[in-house]
Amino acid sequence: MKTTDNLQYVFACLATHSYIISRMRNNFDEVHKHFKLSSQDVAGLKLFMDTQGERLLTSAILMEEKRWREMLPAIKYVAAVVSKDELKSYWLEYLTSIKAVENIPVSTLSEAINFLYYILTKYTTGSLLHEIIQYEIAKNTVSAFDSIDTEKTIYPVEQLTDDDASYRVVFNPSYLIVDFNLPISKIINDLTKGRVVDSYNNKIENILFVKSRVSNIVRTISLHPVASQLLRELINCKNLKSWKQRVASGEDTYQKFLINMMDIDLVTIEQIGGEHYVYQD
Amino acid sequence: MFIKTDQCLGVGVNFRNEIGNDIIHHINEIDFIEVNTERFFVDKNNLHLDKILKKIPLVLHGLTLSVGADQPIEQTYLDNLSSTLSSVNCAWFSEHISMTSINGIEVRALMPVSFNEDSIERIVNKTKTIMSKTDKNFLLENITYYYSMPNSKMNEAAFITEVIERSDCGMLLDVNNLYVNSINHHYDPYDFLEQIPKERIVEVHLAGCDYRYDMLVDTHASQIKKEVLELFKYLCSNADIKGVVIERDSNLDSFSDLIDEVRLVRDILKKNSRARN
Repeated sequence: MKTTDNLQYVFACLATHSYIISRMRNNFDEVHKHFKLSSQDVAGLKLFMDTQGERLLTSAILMEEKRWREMLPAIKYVAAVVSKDELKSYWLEYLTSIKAVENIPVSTLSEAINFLYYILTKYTTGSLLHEIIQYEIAKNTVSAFDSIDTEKTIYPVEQLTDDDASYRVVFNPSYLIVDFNLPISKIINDLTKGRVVDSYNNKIENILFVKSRVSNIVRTISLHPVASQLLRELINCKNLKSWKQRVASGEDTYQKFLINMMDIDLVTIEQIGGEHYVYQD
Repeated sequence: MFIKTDQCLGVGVNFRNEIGNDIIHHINEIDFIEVNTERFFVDKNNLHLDKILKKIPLVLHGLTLSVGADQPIEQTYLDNLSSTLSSVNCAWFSEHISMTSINGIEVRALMPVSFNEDSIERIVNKTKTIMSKTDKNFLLENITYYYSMPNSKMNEAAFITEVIERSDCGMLLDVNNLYVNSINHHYDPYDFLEQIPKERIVEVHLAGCDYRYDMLVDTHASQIKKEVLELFKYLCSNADIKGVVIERDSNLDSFSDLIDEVRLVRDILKKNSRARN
């Protein structure tokens, strides 16, 4: 069982939490709320705070400002709608919500996701900002996905018609499908073009987010209701035959749909228990 | 064992996704590229970087080894590093004399270590572990620090000298870090250069710095200060430098400014290295 925290650990916690340093500079006893230290280390830390506390605080603030600057591109649509002062005040609130002994997010994208979740609670479900925040959470979540296995088995779809029961679809694990209550693709388009976004009529829109394992680019695709149904059935089917039975459409539709989904690197097709065919152009 | 290579790579820049295309367009102006080691641990596909690596040499620069932390190197890190070093063709690889992760706390920045014997022993042991995995030269870099860690018993130059010599590794001297530290901690950077083992300097980093909160800060966001270039010029006359990287992480809108700096630094390197010889 740990009896005391070592000083390196304490400094790591302090360096990533400027608000704890500020509190300790006002009242050194604050240290005991967060850390268990030997009397020798308490004395050493007290001396350090008296002589170099301001420098440690500045250093921690500089790191937090760097995290803020690095995060902004990942929340660009929210930043285009919420005023800079308001967003910055949320950021400072968010920083103090991370406990002294808690890790800060390990990457800029995970920081952006955490921060977006933090501010999401401040807006009513279905409101314009709520939807934009949801959009950026989804996009960053997909973007943060690291593809471990980039090997793909690609089948010529037109040759799969003989025995559909022996083929199944494997999804790119990065994908997300999110339902929005507003026409989010129009909102994002307006924001991209610098137009004023104000009010939009309620409209359910399903967006597919997927990160290409070749280009690492995240695609966002507004799903037509028919495509949405084909896709949702595909997700739940154990093989191509059962999918075709459930959606009951034409062979031409199946093929076009699968080719489109393979083009955006959403799916690959595998032979169940059989050898792998690799499509050659 | 540290053996300096004969070949000088010249002047390069650090790779960032947002300037990948610019680097490709100016590939004839850039002698080599420095890439974060950890990028190769996860990111196997980067079209820009793949193109760049077909044209110019590579050096690796790690961020997360945390050599100064009182904990062993994670086996996963060692495995990833070994795999990367055997799969990519790099001239050398480097790390910072710092802590980035301590007992599970990720700092996401470079924290200073205490300048004392315990730290030296810890870093030397880890460096030897790393070097036992490869024949490639491993370099350690001086960092910018804004406060001195408690329990420091010696000055920075003496500490770095002990670490580098006892590890028997090379040195990456960040001249901007040296200048920033000399201002913030009130010492003479030329005295520092006299104390460190210059024969072990392989690579040099140059970057911009700016005043923030009454401190000089290593921002990597502006042009190299003339004082830093003067220090670099002096160093070129006194050390056999094998490669210089200009680090720029933001304010990259005008890429041609960075290329101008590459030309300027190359000119200084050539003229002053020739004068030394």
